[in-house]
Amino acid sequence: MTRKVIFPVTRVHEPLRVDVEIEGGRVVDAWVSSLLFRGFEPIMAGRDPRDASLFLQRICGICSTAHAIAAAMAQQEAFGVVPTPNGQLLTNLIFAADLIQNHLRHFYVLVLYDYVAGPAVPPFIPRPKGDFRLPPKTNDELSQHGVKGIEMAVRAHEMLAVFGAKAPHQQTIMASGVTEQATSERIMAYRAVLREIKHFVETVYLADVLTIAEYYKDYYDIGAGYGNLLSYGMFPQPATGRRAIGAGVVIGKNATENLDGGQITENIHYSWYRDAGETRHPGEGETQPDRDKAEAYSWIKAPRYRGLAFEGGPLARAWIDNDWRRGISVMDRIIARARETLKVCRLAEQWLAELAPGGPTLRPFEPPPQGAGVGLTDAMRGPLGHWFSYQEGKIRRYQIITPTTWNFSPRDASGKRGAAEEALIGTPVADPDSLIEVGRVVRSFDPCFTCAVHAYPAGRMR
Amino acid sequence: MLSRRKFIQLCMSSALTLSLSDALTPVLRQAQAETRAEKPPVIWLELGSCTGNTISLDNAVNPSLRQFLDETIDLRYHWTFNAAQGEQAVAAMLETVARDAGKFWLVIEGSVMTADNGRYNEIFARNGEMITGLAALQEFAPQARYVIAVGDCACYGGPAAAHPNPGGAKGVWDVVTDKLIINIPGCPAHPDWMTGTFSHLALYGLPELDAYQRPKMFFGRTIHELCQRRQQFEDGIFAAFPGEDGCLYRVGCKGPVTHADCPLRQWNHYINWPVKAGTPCIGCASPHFPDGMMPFYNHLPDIQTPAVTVNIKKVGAAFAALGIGAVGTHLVAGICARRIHKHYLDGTKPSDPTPPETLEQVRQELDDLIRQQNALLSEAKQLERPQRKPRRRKSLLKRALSFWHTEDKDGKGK
Amino acid sequence: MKLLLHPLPVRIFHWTMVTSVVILLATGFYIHHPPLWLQWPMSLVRKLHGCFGLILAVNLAGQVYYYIATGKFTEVLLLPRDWAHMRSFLRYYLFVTEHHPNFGRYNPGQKMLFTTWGLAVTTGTVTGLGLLFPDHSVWLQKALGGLSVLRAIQYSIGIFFVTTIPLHLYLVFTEEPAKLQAMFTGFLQKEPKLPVAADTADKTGRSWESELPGVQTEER
Repeated sequence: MTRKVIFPVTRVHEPLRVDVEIEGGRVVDAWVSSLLFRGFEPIMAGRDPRDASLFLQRICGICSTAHAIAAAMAQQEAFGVVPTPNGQLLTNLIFAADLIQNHLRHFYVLVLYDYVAGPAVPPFIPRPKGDFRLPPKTNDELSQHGVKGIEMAVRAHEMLAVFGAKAPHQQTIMASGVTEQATSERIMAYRAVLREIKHFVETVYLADVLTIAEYYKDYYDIGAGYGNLLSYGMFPQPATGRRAIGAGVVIGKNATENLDGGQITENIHYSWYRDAGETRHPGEGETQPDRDKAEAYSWIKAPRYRGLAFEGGPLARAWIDNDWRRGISVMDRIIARARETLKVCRLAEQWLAELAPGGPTLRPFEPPPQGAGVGLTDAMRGPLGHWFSYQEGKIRRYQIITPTTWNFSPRDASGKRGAAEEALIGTPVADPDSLIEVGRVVRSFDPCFTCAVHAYPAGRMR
Repeated sequence: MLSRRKFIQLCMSSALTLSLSDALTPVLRQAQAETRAEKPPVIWLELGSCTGNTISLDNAVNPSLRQFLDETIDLRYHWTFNAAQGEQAVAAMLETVARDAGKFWLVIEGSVMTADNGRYNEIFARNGEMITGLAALQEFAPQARYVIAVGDCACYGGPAAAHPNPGGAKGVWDVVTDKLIINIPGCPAHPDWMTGTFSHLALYGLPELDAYQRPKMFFGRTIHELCQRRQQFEDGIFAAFPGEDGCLYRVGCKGPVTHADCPLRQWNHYINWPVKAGTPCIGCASPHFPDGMMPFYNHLPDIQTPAVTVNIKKVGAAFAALGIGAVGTHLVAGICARRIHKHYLDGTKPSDPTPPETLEQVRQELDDLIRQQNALLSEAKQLERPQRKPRRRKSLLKRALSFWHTEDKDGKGK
Repeated sequence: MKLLLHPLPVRIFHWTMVTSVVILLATGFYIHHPPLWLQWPMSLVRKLHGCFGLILAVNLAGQVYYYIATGKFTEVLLLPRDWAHMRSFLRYYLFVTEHHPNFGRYNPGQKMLFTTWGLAVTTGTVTGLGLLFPDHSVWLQKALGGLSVLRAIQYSIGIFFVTTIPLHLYLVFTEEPAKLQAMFTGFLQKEPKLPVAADTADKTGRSWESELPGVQTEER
C-alpha cells in the first residue's frame, strides 16, 4: 500500500490537494484538502446589506454571477421586493451566459488535456504521463478545438457583458432586477452571440465530448461515488418563480424527493476550525480558524443533508430533471455538463423571445431597517446557499455554503467520506507517479476551491 | 519598429480603432528575430485569489490569450493552464526558477495571506514539505526580473483584506518591500491592462508608473474624466436610482475617485462597462477597494472599526447638531442669567472690570495700558507677592473647588 | 468720539472670508449630495467652488502676511501663553463669574476658533486641489489614503464650519453688540465715560480705555 499526494492538482480553480492510498493498482482511500482561507463571511458583518450581491461575487472569479444571484435572492426575501419580469429574464440571461462560459471553459481549458495531448509549448508541456488514447489526427483536431472552445467562452462572457456590464464580476444585478435596459439592439447582440455559441455546442462541443467518451469508455465505470444527488434548482421564471431547472434530492440513485432546507448541517471534525459543537445547522454556531487542529486536513467544512454527503452539478440536475440517467461516473458528469450547456442555450433563446423591449428592468426600492433572507440557487457546479440577517441597515450575520463544499467536503465526525473522496475509491491507477486517472475523476466535478475556502460564520443569526 | 510613444498611444486609445495585436505581432516577431526580445519565461502564482484575473486574461481579445502565449510570453507555470499536475508541474516551475533566475517574470494573482505565518494558504509541495504562498513569494521574488501583481488583491490586498481581514491578506508590495512591484489593479484587471503592460515590459522595459506603481498609460486618468455620462454630471442631471438615465454620481458612483480607463476601453470585447449599463462604478481598480468604496451606493465610505461601522455622514450631522445645540443651550442660559440683557443695555464690557486673575492677564494689560503703568505695576506687585512665598501646591480637589468659587459682590475674588 | 477698532484690511479680509465660506458651503454640500429638485449645473457649481476656494486661500495668505507684518498675530492666534486665561475664560462662560475678564482683544475661545479656521482653510485648499487635479495628486492620495479620504476630509471641513459659524455669530450678537458696527465701519461709537466713583475704578485708576486694548483713539 502506497500513499501518494498530488499538490497542486492543476487545471482546477485552486488550491486543491489530493492524497490517495493505492493498493493493487486501485485507489483504496482518498482525502481532498483545500488550502486557502480568506474568510468572506466575517468581512460582510457590519456592512450595508445592499452591497452583498456586488461584494460577495468576489468570492469566485469563475462563478461570480451565481453568488450575485444567490445574494440577490436573499435580499429579495429580506427587503420584500420582487424583480420585474424583464429584470428576472435578464438575470437569467446573465446567469445563462456565465454558465455556458463556465462549462465551455471547464471542458476546453481544464478537462481537455486529461485526454488530449496539447501543443508542445508551455504551459501544455511537460505533459502528464498517461494513456492518451486518441489517434493523432483526432487528437490534433481536438487540440485545435481547444483554441476555438476558449474563443467561444470569451464570446459567452461578451454575451454576459451585453446585460451584465463586465465579466468576471458582473455589476448590474440588484435585488429588484437588472440596471441595464432591455433594448432591441442589446437583445439582438445577445442573440447573435448565442446563436454562434449554440452552433458551436451542437456541432463541436457535444461531438468532442462524445469522441472522448468513445475512446475512454472505461470512465463510465470510474468515479461513481455515493449516488446521492442534490439540486436547489436554478433560473426562476418571472411571476411564477418556478425554476426552469428543478430542485430535488436523490439518495442512492433512488426516486427524487423534495428538498427540505432544515436537514442541512455542517460538521467541522476534520476542518481547521474550532467551535463548541461540531455539527451545526448553517444558521448557528461560532467557528474560529485553527490551523493546528489535530486530525483536521482541510479548510472546507463537511456539509451533510440528513447526515449524508451529496454531490451537485450538471449531472445531479440532469438526473433530477430526468434528462440523463445513464449512470453516475466521470464520463456521465462530462456528458451531462455538455448537454446542460445546450439546454441552457435553448432556454436563453426562449427568455430572449419573452423579453419586452423597453419594459422596466428594475424597480426602485428602499430596504427596510431590518430583515433576514435566504437565497438558494444552483451554481454551475452545484447547490449554493446564502443566509443572512441585518439590523439597523448593517449586516449582522452572513453564511454561505458553496457547491464545492458539498462536492469536496472532508470526512465528517462519523468518518464518512465526502462525495469526491468516495468517488475516488476504486479508481484504477496505472502509474502511481502520474496519477492522471485521479486527476480525471477530480476534474469531472469541476471543483472551485476559491469558492469553497471562504467560510466561517460571522455574528449570530437571529 | 513600433516606437514606445506610439505603443503607449495605442494602449491608451480605445482598442476599437486599431487592435494591439495587429500592431504588436509584427514588431514582436521582428524583435524576436533580432533576438532582442526573447519570450520571457513567466511564472504565475495564484495566492489568496478568486481566479478572476486568470479568467479575465483568458477573456483577452486582440491579442487573444493564445496569440499572447504564442507571441509575447512563455507561460511556464500557471496552475489553471498547466497540463502537468502535482510534482511534475512543481518540478517544471522550480527548474525555471533555478535556470532562469534573473530572467523570469513573477506574476502574482491574489493577496498574500499572512495570518498564522502564511499557513492560511499553501500552494505547492516540495519534497513533501508544504510551501505557503507567503514563503514562495519571498523566495522567488528576489530572483525574478520583474514582479507583477495583477488584480486588486495582489496589488493592495483587495476584497480579502477588507476589515476585519481574517486571513491577514496583504498586497505583494507590503510583503516584498525591497523590489519594485508593478501593480495592475482592477477586480478583475482588464485583459488589455495585463497584455499591454506585459508587452511594454517585453519590448521597452518598465512602463511609466505612478505613486501607486500602476502603469500611467492605463491608470493615468479617472473614470469620471472619461465617462460618457460626464455631460449629464456637468448639467446637473442625476439618476435617483441605479438603472435610470443621468449621471450616477448621486447613487454612489466612485468614478471620480477611481483611476482607470474603463469608459474608453470598455469590457469583454469592448462592448459594455458598468456606468454605461446604468450601475455606478464601485471603484474596483482603486488601491482602496473595497473598504474605501463601501457602501457602494453611498458617496462617502464607512469607516470600519473593530466595534462598529461608522457612517461619516451621520457623525457629521451629529457634530453639527451638537455644536448648534451647545450654542442654543448657552443662549438660553445667558438669557436666564440675564447676561444678554445686561450686554444689550450696558454694552459689552463690564463697567468695572475684574482684576486680572493670572500673570498672563497682567502682561496683557501691560501691553495694552501703558498709561496706567503705575497703577498696574502696583496691581502686579500685589499679585506677585503671594508667589514669592514658598509655593504650596494646591490639591486637585482644592483647585477644582476654587474653580466654582464665586467672587463676592464687589467683584473681588478669593 | 470714534475709536478705530478694525482697520480697513481686517474688514476686507473678514468680508471676503464671509462671502467665500458661505458660497463654499452651499456649493460644497451641493457637490456632496446634489438634491434632485435643484438641478444646478454642476459645471458652474464646481467652478464657483474652485474659484471661491482659491479666493479664500489667497485671503488666508493675505491675513497671514498682514498679521505677521503688523505683529498682531498674538491677538488672533491661540498661543501657549493663552493657557493662563483658560481658567477665568471657563469660569466666565460657565456663568461662575459675572464679569468679562480682560483677555486682551479676543478671548482664548475666539482665538481658538480663528486658529482652527486658518488650519481648516489650509487643509481644505490642499485636499481641494488634490480633488480638482486627481491625475496630478496621486502622491497626495497615497499619503492620505485615497481620493475617498480627501472627500471625507472636505466634508468634515464643511461640517466644522457649519458647527462653528453659529458659535461665532452667537458671540457677535450677544457678547459685544456694541462692537458689531465696527466690522462695517471700522469704528466704535462710544461716549467717553468718566471713571465711576466706584471703589474699584478709583483704586486702579482705570478708565474706559482699558476696555479696548490696542485701540487707537481718534478725536473728531
